[in-house]
Amino acid sequence: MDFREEYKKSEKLISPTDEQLQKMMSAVMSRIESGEEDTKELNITPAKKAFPYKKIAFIGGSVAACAAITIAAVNIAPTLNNVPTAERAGSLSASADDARQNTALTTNAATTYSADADKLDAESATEFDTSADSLEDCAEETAPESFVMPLVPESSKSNGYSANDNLTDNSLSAKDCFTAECEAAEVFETLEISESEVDEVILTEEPDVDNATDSTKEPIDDAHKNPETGADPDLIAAWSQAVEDSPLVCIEDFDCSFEKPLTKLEFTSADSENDTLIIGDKTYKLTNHEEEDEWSFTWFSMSNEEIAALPYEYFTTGHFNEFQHIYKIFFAEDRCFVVYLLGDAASFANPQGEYVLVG
Amino acid sequence: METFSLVTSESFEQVMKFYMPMVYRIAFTRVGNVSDAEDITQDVFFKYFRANEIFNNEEHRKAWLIRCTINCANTLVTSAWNRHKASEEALEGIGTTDALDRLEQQTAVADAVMKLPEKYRTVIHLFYFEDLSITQISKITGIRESTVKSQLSRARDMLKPMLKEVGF
Repeated sequence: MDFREEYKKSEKLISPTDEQLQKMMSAVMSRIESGEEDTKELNITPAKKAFPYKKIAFIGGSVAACAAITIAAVNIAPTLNNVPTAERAGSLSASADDARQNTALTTNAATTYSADADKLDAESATEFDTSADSLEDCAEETAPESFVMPLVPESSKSNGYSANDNLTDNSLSAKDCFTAECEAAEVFETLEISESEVDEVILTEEPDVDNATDSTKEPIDDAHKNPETGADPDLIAAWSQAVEDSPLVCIEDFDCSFEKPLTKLEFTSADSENDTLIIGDKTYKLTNHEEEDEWSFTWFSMSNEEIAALPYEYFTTGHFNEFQHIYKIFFAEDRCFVVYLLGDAASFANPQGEYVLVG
Repeated sequence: METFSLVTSESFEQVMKFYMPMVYRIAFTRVGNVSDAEDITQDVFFKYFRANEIFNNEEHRKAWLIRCTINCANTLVTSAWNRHKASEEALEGIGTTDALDRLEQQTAVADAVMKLPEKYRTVIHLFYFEDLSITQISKITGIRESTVKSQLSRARDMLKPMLKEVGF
């Protein structure tokens, strides 16, 4: 059977009769003669498909989620290296267990918190003594005498990351020393004993302008270091002086509002010897000694006086240990800006030699 | 099929006489309803008159009319009034119109085609009755050629059992 032929045989059945044709033609003509307006637009082109917002949103959301996960992973990975040592973790977990045992009703959050706080204070006080002792031991054992403030002793050059991996070893590694130093700085803040002492240091020491401007190459003498706080009075004095004398204090065009600063920062390259820091339309020269490393930048919402009063360890250890390679600190309006080197502390060879103060 | 020259097509009435059966058939195949098919046919020619288009050749004119017919039929099929009417018919168990009843009695082929889903009916009609190629159908309806082919194939698959029942 030929379907086409059979179907065409039904033409009469699906075609209009002559009467229908006449009726339709007269209807069309009457509509035209009556001047009826065709209000609808000529619908001879197919309607365009709606813009696929949902599809784009779905794809965009997926990409954003992947990017967020990647960025989070990249950011979290380095911080894992700074996780407290096994001892520290063990003591904290032990204190947590003690707190749980001491507090029969675990649902009472306030009671639990205060118990934890007491325990942690006691732990911290004990650890402060321990870590301070171990820090001194470490400094004596491993740091060369020429190093004034051995944040990362010379031994860390050779040990590198392997020091991290050897946590179970009883010997005191460079990483252990650094971790102990970080803990010590945390305890400074926790016990709130450093500020008054540092204030005293600031009041007694005369600010040295020459040191502030020429300390880019010279290591800082360890003999001036405050034995209790670890703060270097010369350095603090230099910072205080830098607040007054820094040529970078006035950055007129730089908007220091909370949302914008970082978006205006650009480094022309990370591996050139003379990097430039561009803030707004102003360009500043930076000397990058670590070609393979990346300079970064941050700022604090603190007054100049508050920043100047902080000990050196405040930036180099504890919560701010990522700033241990501070390249430049300068002040603009009521902010303190810190240019620092990103990377793991153990990978740096000689932080002192690269330390540059404002001016 | 009867040829139509550009010279004689300048008269609107002649154009209507020549193309109105085709427009009506396409509309009827699409909506399966005489009165709706008549309305669509009138609309198409009214639009044709108002548009006052200049056509390169008769194929162009024919394609314009077919496209306009399909669009008008789609508009009617998807209109709120039509949906309401269709739901009422479904509730009352009136699945077909008078014309369709007449078709059922007279020819099994046309009946089988009218039982196909709307989109398949149009493609089958344009391909087998109006003798348009798949490319032409694709251009007129705005559907991709591969889709036209698959619709034709599915329509044939649907038609086979229906035609077998009536002895084809």
